[in-house]
Amino acid sequence: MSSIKISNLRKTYGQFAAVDGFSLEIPAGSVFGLLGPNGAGKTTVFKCMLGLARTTSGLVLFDGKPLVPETFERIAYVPERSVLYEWMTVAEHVEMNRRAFKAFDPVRALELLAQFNVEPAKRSRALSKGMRTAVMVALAFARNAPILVLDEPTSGLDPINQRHVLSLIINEAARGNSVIFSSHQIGQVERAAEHIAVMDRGRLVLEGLVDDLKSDRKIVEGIFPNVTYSLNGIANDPRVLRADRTERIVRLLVRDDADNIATMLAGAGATGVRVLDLNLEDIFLFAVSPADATADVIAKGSS
Amino acid sequence: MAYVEWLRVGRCLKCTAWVLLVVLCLIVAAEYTFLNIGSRSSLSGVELHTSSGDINASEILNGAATTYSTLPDGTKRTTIVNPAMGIRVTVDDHGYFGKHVEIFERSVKRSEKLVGIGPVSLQRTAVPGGSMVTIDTNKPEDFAYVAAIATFIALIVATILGAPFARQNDGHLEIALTNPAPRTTLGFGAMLADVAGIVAAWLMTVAMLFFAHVAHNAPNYTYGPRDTEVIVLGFAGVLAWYAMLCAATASLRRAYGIVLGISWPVALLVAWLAKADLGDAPMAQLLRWGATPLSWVDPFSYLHFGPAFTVNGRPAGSLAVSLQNELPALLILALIYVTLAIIQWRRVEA
Amino acid sequence: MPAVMTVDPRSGVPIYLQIVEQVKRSVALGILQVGEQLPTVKQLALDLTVNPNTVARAYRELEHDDVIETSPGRGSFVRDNGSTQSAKTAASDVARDALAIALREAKSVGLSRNDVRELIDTAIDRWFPEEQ
Repeated sequence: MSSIKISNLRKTYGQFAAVDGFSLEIPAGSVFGLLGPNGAGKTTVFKCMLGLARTTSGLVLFDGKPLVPETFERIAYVPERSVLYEWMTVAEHVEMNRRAFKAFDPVRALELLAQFNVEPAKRSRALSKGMRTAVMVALAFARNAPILVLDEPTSGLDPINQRHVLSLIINEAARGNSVIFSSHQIGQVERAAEHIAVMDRGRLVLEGLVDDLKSDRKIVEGIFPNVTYSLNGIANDPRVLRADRTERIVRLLVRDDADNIATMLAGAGATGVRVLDLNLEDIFLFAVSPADATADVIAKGSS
Repeated sequence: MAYVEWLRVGRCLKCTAWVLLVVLCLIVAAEYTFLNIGSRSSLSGVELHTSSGDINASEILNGAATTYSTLPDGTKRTTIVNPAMGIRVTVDDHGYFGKHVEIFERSVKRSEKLVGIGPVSLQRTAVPGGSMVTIDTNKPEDFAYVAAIATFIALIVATILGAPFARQNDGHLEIALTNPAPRTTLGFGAMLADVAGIVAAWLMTVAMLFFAHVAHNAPNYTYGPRDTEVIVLGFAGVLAWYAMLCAATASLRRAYGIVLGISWPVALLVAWLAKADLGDAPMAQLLRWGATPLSWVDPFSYLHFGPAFTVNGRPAGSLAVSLQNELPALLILALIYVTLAIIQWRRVEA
Repeated sequence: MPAVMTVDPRSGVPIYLQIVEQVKRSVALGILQVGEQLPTVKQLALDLTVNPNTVARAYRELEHDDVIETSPGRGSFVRDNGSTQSAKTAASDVARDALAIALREAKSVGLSRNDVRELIDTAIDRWFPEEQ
């Protein structure tokens, strides 16, 4: 059981801040999904977390202690792109890991490789992109590490192997190990992760338990009889994150207590008031799309 | 990472072994062709430069009296006497223990010369009534001759292996940097593997030369203090050379191949410019002025690879000698370069 | 039981609630017998490919609702004391949620209280003819 604490992480390349004041606490034994559009800084967060890149400022603690080389006995990392040696065989990579890590289980590694249909005698250069990902995943899951950091662990994999990776993640979680993974496949995150963090342009924009976010975040929709209506300050309510208006239809993104907001909207004269569920993809899109995405956004307090 | 480096060294040594094997075959074949002096067939096509002009060696046989005899110690002696040309050839074939050939010419040659190439020595001396050329195919061979060639091969292998850090930086840094061992340890481990590979290449070359020798002749080496100097200084030079390449590439990610490729011409040019007599032209002085400080940090400036010939008993070009000045310089260079490589590599980011 | 369990992670309904609802339904329908053992958290998590902590949360919720009981080291079982009660509770929970959705829908399309009552009466007549 290992916890990770990232506080106020910053990483700049020249003028550009790839990560800009990122703080996150990853409790021990949880599966944490890191989401974000391309270039949001997910990979940079992983690299800074693991000391692969020097942080401009900020602090990363593993069980309350800063990272030292020995910490890597307890961290297994799958990078975003293949880092396998093209000229080495898969079996030689297994041997490399056996020599590097005390807890590495070569038998388990070969078992996992067989499950992914990877021939250990093959050289890396003969493997497809997906197979390379599978090799790195197999090596990481044979590490018996309490912390797994997986940057896009399913990229290039076919749906069967993607599902297999999810099962492996779930298996690790059941053993009490922590898994932090990023993925563009929100459906996978939705299944495997209990906790998510959404990054956008180097910042943390949303964080919480997936089920809580789904329970709390709702869309409240109402239709007014004509275009001249007043929301009676509902859009100012702190529980309302966003209000969109198209003609006579009002859609409110609420943080929690949707039923109460629905009642208020009905009280303002709206008919056909509905409360709509949001799945993780909706929640993600609301979190990362810029506030001025549509011309229909009613600035808070203007109504 | 050291494991990967060992694998890489293994692959490199496998290639080196193949190359050495091919060279061995070539040497054995060449020795068979050129050193088979004395048999009739081998004389045809050979030009002899005599006082009476160039003649084909087989012409000596025309009108010559050839006698074969076996001496009490088993030596097969062939004597060819051509009174018309005033030439007398005596070939003593000791079989595995080499050949001793004496060619007497009636013409008078004043210049005396002794040339040695490895175990082969050629000597011309003035004797009463003419001159005598003596050829020995199995003279005692200075081990330094073997060591110098092995050092040269070791330098090539050092150049091939010379970028362990850049190779790691090129897409595999994540593996090295998420390893429980500290970076410095990993760096030294990789360099140690390479150095072991370089030493192995040196030994393989010595073995190859030995086999090339024993294919035709009994081993007949001499070993003296100077040979130790050549070996020690050669290793120091190779070490410094390898360390320099490591330092030059430790921060690189891709272009390390170019650095390794131009290292030889650049280093040789610098070493040459610093010493060559270019005259007093301003440009020449500028070149020397620029090259001299560079030559201080260039391991090649401290290694001398003269051709391993001896003329009149002296090396025609000097092998690496003079331990007093050059050994400390090379070791200090190696140390500085290793430190520079490690410092740079510790700062590389993925 | 796992054979009939499915979750739709893409739905807006939290996964733990989907599990809770399905277990309750299974108990109400008798697919899960009283005293029957439920799969372990790990097993169900792997079967459904969902996070084990999510399954554990569903089990806690079910315990809280008195549908199942968990004894350390033995596993989780459908409650047997007041078994009919737990089944009935489970059934009415499921029915209540379904009704709530139906009523909200009815309201959103503008039906009045009397309209809805009339609809419900018709539905009751249709589904419970023997108690008329």
